[in-house]
Amino acid sequence: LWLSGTFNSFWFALVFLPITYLGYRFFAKRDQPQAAVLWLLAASVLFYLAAQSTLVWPLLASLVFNFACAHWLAVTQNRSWLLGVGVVTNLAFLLYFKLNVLAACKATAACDGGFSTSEQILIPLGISFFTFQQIAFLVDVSKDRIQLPRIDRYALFVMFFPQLVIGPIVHARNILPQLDGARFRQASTIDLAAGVSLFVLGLFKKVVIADEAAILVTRIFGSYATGEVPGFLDAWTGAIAFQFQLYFDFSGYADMAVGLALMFGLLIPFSFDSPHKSADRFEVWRRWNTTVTEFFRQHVFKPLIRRGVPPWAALMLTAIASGLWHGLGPTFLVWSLTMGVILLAVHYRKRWFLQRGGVDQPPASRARTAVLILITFLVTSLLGIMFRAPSFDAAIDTYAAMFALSTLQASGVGALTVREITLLLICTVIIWAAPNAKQIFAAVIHATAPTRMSFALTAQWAIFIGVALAICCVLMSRTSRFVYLQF
Amino acid sequence: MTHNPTALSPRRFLAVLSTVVGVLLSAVAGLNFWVDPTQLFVGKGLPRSNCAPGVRAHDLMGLVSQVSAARPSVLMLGSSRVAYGHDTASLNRAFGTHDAMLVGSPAAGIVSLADSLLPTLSTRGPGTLLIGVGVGETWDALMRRARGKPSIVQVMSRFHQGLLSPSSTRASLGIIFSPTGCAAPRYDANGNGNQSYFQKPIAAGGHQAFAQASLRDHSTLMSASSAVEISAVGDAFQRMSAQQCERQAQTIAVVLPVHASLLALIHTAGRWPSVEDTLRALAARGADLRAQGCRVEFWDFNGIREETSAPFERGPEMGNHLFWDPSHYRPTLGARVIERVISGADSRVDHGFGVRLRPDNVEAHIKLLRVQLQRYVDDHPDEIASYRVMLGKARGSGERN
Repeated sequence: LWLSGTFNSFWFALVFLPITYLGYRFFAKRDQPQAAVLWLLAASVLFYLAAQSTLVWPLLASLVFNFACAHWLAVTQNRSWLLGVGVVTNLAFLLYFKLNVLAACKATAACDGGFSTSEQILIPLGISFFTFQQIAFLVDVSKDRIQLPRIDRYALFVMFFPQLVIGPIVHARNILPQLDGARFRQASTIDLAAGVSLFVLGLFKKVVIADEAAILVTRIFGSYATGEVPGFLDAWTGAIAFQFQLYFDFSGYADMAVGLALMFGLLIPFSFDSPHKSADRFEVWRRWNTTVTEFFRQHVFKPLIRRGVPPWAALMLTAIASGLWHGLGPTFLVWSLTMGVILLAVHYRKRWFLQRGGVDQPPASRARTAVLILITFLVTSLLGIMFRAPSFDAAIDTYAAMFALSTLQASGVGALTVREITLLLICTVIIWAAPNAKQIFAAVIHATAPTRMSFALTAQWAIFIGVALAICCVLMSRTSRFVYLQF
Repeated sequence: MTHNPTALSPRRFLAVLSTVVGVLLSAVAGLNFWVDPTQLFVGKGLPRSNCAPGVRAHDLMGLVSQVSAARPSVLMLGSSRVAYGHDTASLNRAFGTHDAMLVGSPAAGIVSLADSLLPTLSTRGPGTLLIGVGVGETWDALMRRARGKPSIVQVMSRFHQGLLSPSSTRASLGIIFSPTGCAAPRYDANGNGNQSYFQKPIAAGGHQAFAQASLRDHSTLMSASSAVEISAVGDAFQRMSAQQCERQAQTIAVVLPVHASLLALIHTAGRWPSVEDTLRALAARGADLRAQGCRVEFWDFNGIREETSAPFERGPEMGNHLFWDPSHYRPTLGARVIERVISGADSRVDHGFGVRLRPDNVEAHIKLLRVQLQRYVDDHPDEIASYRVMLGKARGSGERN
């Protein structure tokens, strides 16, 4: 497949994207925003069809159903009932495909509901994201936060290719007004330059760092295919490397999505805000995949609280919903339950401090903060094993290896190479010592005061981005899919 | 955007960026086009030595560049078994040549190699092509690749690989900067394999270690379905053979020997029927090709004999005097394989090492293998029981990955 629903391909970067941009710019510069909308919609449909022509009907069916539902919501008096029908139908639709994946996995022995590295995508691309996005839309319509748009604009809101497949989840009330805004109509070269640069940084994170980390992670976790269990060092290295892979893979995609949208004069939110700089799991939760987290907060946690569910139960249910959103296998369930328990522990610890001294934390020294960040990262890595392991048994075996010092000398997968050690060090520096993409591009996107590391249209940045893009073009020959594409 | 005194106009910024990308990519593509390590562009290229440039052994493009540079009269192509089980000296001795070449890629299946090499083979192919595969070769890879002409996307992808991939670039630089330098010797002066070539040496541990090593090397086989694969294997051989046939060159495909313990493991995994079907398919394909006037032979070196069932030692290194591990034999045995193929002994079924497969002898050969296997299974109940445990575990957890 020549596009495969991803941005890290030669065809996307050098053929699809330039043509799409030129078409958009052509219409925008002639003050024909409606034509630009239709052009982008056509490009988005093509993008989806090229990636997954056989499973396009669920997207179209979902789109038509939700638009019709919104239409009805806008005119009916009994909104809560209709909203309930709409939300339940969307969730049933999502559940149907998630169950299908589970059944297909078991039938083909491709996975056990756990993490799958299969190249075969068994689920309509982006279904988890476009379903949630449309649920949020129905809620907005029911609360009169937005007027019903034309169907072509609604379709573009749902199918806009930069955010269609792996998010971020955007709100119609934020996106649709932009289609009439000056930024979209101008097709400015500044936005093009900044968007290209952000796209390249995301591409670099994916192609150069995440794909390299994936080789190490696959080497370690792949040893399960032989019935082997990694040793102590293997297990820890695999857990940490997987966090690096996941972060650079997913945040790379998110940066690319924001950069692409910016090229077309649209602002969509960054999904990552340096989550591994967090000093507790709550912070990680808030800073990782922020738009999805916000969705769960607004549409699961808060409604539960409003209906009188105790906060601890609401938190647990929200965590479970988040886990099942990723997949219906036992590993995702245990992952979400464990995460819920940890979040509760953090919550009650903070409350305990508040009750004692009126502050939620003791005074933070730099050393203490560093230790907390380290502990939080290690906890995240431990949780990640449940996420990554191909089965529940494999996850338990890995935990056993991580806490069994008797396997200290054992290495099922061989020693780390210099290249792998270098990669891990580079990841460490970027994650903990460098600003994130949101901070780097804040000045140019939102016109905030620039910092020393802010992106600017200077020769140095042009050369840096150019070299990064050239490296990506060479390394794109080993095109791989994004981890979150399966969700 | 806040004003920056050193800022460029957006157009100028994009111009600088594009120039940097253009210059760098042109440099890389130009280098790879000029050197043309994969012979994709059939250019004149650089004069090359008859020696492997300093590329990694499992680098497909690097291997292709080695072949196109060396233009050997005898080429033995295969996976890790070829890399670890043969040496050019014994090949040259057997064929009476001085430029025989081995292309064994531990990280790639035989068909990946063949796919990459086909353009080179069509113009600079050897007089004799030996193709070595193991019983547990990655059949699914064969299935994916043994299909028709490449699409335009695949062709473009191949050009991209040839011009802008890291492997092509490494191969080009290797050719330029080390025209006489060879890769590290694969064997020491005594003919022992260089252990560094093993990505993961097997620790001592008796049959447990055997089985784990075998499962690692043959996990695909354990999970694969067989019906379609058999024809795919045959198709893959046919494609390679057909190319040789057009050039009136000889092709010898060899199902390489593995240790008896691995055959028993395959049997225990319930995969033995697919091995039998593969042998039948190879015999039939060979007959078809020969009927078309091609110089093609198919050999099978599997069986439970003295050579393949010597016990493994317990010690710092697994193996015995003929095998590194259950699926990789040593050059001593590799030399015997080549000698047997060269001798061209009659293909009647006997208890000799290696059988030339033909439609009229394949069933008798298969029957003999079954008898040998059953005897081995009966004689080694503990070993078989341990395989069952491991297979259960592998199927319960790992195969889904």
